[in-house]
Amino acid sequence: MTGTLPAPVPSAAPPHVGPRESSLLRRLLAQRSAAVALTVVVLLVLVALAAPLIAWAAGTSPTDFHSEAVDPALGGLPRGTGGGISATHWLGVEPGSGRDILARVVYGARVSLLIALLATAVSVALGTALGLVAGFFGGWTDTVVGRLMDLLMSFPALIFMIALISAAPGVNRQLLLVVVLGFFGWPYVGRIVRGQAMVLARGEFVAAARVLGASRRALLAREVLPNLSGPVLVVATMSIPGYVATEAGLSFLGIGVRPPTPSWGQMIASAVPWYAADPVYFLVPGVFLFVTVLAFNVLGDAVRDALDPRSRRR
Amino acid sequence: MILYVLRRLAATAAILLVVCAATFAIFYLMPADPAQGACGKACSPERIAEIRTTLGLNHSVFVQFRDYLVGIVAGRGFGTGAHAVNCPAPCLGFSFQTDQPVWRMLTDRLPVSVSIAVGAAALWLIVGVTAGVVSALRRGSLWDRAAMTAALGGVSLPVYFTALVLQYLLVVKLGLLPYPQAVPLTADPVGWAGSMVMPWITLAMLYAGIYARITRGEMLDSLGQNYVRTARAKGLSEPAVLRRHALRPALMPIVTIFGMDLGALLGGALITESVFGLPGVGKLAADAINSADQPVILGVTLFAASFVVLANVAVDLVYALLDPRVRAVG
Repeated sequence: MTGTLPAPVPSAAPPHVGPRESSLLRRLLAQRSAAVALTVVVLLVLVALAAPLIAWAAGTSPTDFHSEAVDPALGGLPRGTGGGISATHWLGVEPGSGRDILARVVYGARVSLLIALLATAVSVALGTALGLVAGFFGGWTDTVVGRLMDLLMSFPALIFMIALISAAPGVNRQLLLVVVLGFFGWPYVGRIVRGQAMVLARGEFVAAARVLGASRRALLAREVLPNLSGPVLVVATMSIPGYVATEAGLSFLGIGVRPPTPSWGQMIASAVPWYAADPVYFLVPGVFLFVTVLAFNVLGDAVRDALDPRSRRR
Repeated sequence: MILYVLRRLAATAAILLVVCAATFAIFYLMPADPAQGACGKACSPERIAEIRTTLGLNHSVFVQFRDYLVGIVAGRGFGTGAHAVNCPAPCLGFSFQTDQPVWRMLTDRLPVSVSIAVGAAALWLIVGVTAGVVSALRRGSLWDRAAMTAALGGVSLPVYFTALVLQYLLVVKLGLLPYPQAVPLTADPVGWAGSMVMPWITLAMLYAGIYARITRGEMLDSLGQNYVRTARAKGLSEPAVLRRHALRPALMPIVTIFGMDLGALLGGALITESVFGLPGVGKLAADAINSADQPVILGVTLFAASFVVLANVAVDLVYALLDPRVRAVG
């Protein structure tokens, strides 16, 4: 694969940590890089939420054509310098159509974050459920789930996603992206949950609850599951940047989000023919994408360090 | 050992069969009509019916799958009479859009993908592992922090963005390199290297970051182990301790991911090849997707999957060679 896959897996999941949200937040904010990353992420979410407001303030929309902002004599290059950056178009305009880049980038943030977060939710739900069952019950359940995870992880995921998506023309792309990303991502969550659940299942508190007559369901839900929140939070945070990058990569290849819905990867793809004449056009979505992935990566590292005593030593 | 190898190979064949079936099922269950794809947009219903017969689409999915598997082993033909085409073994399908067997298209493109993958791998392995080891030995130093920041940046850079920035700076602004195009190594080694430099750097920026981070973590782990303390205590020189007792175990996980990454790249660096317009297997996949050439998409998927699965086997075998415990358990 070309490296845009959701594969960053923490070297070791924390044994048995129950995070209290407030203390986790405090520990995160104590690290400067984590605090900056968290701020960036919060800002990005705000930008995504406020996208219509920002476009309205800029006096445009992501699909409005501004033919007056491009110069037909130059093959549709934006008028003025720096890709058409001006008082009316703060980040310039798209060559050819003259659509406002700021409006498209902020709407692109919506798509990017929504798909990445939903895909994370899908993979965490699937991975936790299957990993928990496999690790707790062991036996043939474990064998089946384990083999399935091995198989999925040995698939060339990017090419398979492409095959899947391109073979389903009429389906809602954003939904399909979430399902496909989540489906190929859950083994990475499941592997960690399974290992933890195996350890927890042998814990004394589980044995005690069992002796007290707790049902298997109660054991899973009340004894084991709460103790998994730490590792799950770590692996979830660490998988978000991979999903952001993969969605952008698929959109770049033309099999992600469909136009006219803007997406960063798709914007960069449409900037390829113009890169020599109008570098601003690929720099803007590229920098947004880079900063988003970087912020989530830093945050993921920080969450792991905060919850995993083994890695904090480093 | 031989038994172990045989067992691994059998498991590999099983995985490849499952991958093959899954890929086939995806294309069979999905609504897109392969006959339509083979014939293009302006196509009469009669012609489509004819192609359906030629491709064997009127048979059940099991028969089609059996024919496909038989084709891989023994080759097959499509159609009869004047329209008949021959697809020699290993037949991964026939592209009616380009009028070529998929296998030939793949093998034609493979050298470019191999050039990209091997060069990039050498670059990122040297840079990533060295940076990681130095960082671990000088933990907390300015070098460590700078290298790890750079690594995190590299990991976060999307390859197509790196590719565009490099191309803008090196080709358009500075004029240091020509626009990338496929130059065969045998015809013009210098031109070949020149055309490969940007793809190598692009991929290496990403992977070197990953490798530096992993190497550093593993190295710190092994440096904290008791056997390293023992090695020091028994009076081994520091370089010997580092090389034999700290670095060796730290590199074991690197062997694993290196095998997997290289395997994945050999099956085509989809995005990198597309951005630089280099005609490798990845570019073939991207083109096939754009023109909805289903036999090619199916073939590339299987081809790339085989590389990943075979890389897995290679990694396991290397592991077994390095660590006898694996042989006993495996």
